[in-house]
Amino acid sequence: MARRPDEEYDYLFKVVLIGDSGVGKSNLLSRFTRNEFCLESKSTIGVEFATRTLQVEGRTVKAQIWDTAGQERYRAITSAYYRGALGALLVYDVTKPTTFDNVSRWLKELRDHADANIVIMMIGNKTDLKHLRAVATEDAQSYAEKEGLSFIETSALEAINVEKAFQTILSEIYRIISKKSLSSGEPAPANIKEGQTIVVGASEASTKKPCCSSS
Amino acid sequence: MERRRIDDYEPGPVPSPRPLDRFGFVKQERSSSPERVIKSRSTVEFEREERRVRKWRKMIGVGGSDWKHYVRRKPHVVKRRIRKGIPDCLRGLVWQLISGSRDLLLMNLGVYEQLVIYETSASELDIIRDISRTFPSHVFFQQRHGPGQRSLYNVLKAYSVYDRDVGYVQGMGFLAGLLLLYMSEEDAFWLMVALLKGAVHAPMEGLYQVGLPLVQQYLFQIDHLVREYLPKLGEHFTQEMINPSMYASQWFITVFSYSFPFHLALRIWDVFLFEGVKIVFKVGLALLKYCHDDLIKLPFEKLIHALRNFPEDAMDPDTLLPMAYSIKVSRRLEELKHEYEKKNGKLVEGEESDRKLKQPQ
Repeated sequence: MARRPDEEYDYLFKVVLIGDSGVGKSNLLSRFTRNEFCLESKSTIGVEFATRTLQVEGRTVKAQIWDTAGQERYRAITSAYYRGALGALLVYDVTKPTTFDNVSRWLKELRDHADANIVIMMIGNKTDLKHLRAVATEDAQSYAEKEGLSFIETSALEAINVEKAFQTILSEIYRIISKKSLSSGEPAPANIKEGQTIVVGASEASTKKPCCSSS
Repeated sequence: MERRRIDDYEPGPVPSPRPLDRFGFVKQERSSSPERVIKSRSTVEFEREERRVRKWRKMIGVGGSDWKHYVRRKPHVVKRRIRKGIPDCLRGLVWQLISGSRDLLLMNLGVYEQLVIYETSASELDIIRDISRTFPSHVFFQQRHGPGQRSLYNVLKAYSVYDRDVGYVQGMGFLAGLLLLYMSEEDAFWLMVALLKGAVHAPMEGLYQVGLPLVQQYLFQIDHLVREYLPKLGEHFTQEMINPSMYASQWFITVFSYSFPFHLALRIWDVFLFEGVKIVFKVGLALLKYCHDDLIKLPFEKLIHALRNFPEDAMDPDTLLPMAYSIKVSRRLEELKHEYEKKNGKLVEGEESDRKLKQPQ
C-alpha cells in the first residue's frame, strides 16, 4: 500500500501508559513525542493518543502510544485500550509511595485485560524532586526483578531517561517480534496498514498465561 | 499523616500578571477568535447587546422573581432566547434558575456549610491532587491555595460527602470550576447537585458512578447516531477502527468544558441546563458534520488528532449551534437508550421512579 514518505515505517507498536493519577504519564508522553513539558497540565479525562516514529535496532518503528486516565474509576473505559498493546509503561511517582504500592494492582489489571505476553516496563518518574524522594531505587529495582519487569527512573521535567525508557521498551518488543517471525518462518510483518497493530502470538494470548513469569 | 486540608495551607504567591482574555484565561500565543470579535464590535452591536440585557432583566424580574411565571407562560420565547446565548452578566443567576438549583439551596439552607466544615471525605487527597490541574490557565484558579483553588476544593469535597457513591471523579472539577466562575461556592454546589441528581432533567450521576455506566450508554448512543446521520463518516470510522471513546468521552464527562474554547462551552451550557444532555449529542454531531468532508479523507492517526482538535471556524458558536439545533435526536436517543438497556439486561421500566433528591444522612 502506497504511503507518503513521512508515514513510512517497518513496524507499528502499540504501547499503553498506565499508573496512578498524577504520576506524570501525560508529561512523559509529551516529552517523548513533542519534547514538551507542561507544568500547568490538566488531568487526563479518558484517553489521549500520540505517536512518534524512530529508529530501533536499525528499523523504523512507529510507536503508537495511548495515555490513559489514572483514576481507578476510569478503568471502565481505559482497560479496553490494553487489548492489542505490545507494551505497557507502568508509571509511579518516586515521591509518592502509594503510587508505587499500587503497581501490583496495575499488574493485575494488565493480567486481566492485556495480552499475556505484553512487555511491561516500570517507570519511577519525577526524579528531579530529589528532596521529596520517598521510594528508593533499590526497592523498586528488586521489585521489578521479582516481577520480571524492566525498570528505569525518569524525569519528564528534566528530560532525563525518557528517550531511553521508550527506546528500551520498543527494542524489547522488537526483539520479541523478530524472534517470533524468525521461528515461525514468516517474513517480518512490515508495511502494515496504519491503524493496525501487530499482535504477537494472538493465539497464545487467549490462554491467559501469567505475564512475564513472576517469581 | 498526609491527611491535610487545603485550608491548612498558606496561599502561594499571586501569579505575575499575564495578558488575559475576556473570561480570565491566560492568552495563548495564537490569538483566539473571541478577542477579535470583541475588538471589532461596533456601537450598534453594543446597543443591541444592551437591549438584549434589558429584555432578559425584564424576563427574570428582580432576583429571579418573575422567572417561573415567564417560563410557564412563554416557554418557546425562553428557549429561543437561551439558544441565542444568555447575557454574560446574568448567566450565573439564570443558570441557577433554569437548573432548579436555586430551589434546592432554599430548601437546604445551612447544609452546604455543614458538609464543608464538619464532614470528612475519603476523596480529599484525590481532590487536592487535581485542584491545580483544573483550568490551570485561568487566573482564578492559578494561585496555589488561593481563593479559586479553595472554592474548587470545598465544592468538590462537599459533593463527595453529599453523594458518597459518586465521591470524586476526575472531570467533575471542570464542571465545578466552570460554575465557580459564575456563582458562589454554595450556589455552584447546589447546581452540581441539581445536575447529578436530576432536579430538572435526567440525573447525570451515572457519568461518575463505578463503571461509568452513563458514559458507556452515551458512547453507545453517539456511535449509532453517527452511523445513522453521517453514514459515510460512520463507515470510515469503522474502517479506521475509530470508536467514540477515543474522542467523545470528554464531551459527556465534562459537557464540553474540558478542552473546548470557553465562549463556546458557555453557550453550550446555556442550552444544556435548559434542554438537557441532548444538546451534547447535537453539538457533537454538528462538529462531525461541519468537518465531515475533511474527516472522511483522514487515516487513523490524523483522524484522531482532528477529532480532538477541531478547527477554529468549526467552533464558532454562531455557526456551530444553529447547525446543532437543526439536528433532531430526541426520539432516536430514547430508542437507543432502550436498546442499550435491553442489550445490557436492565429493566426498562421503573428506572426513572427514584429520581428524588437524596438528603444528606
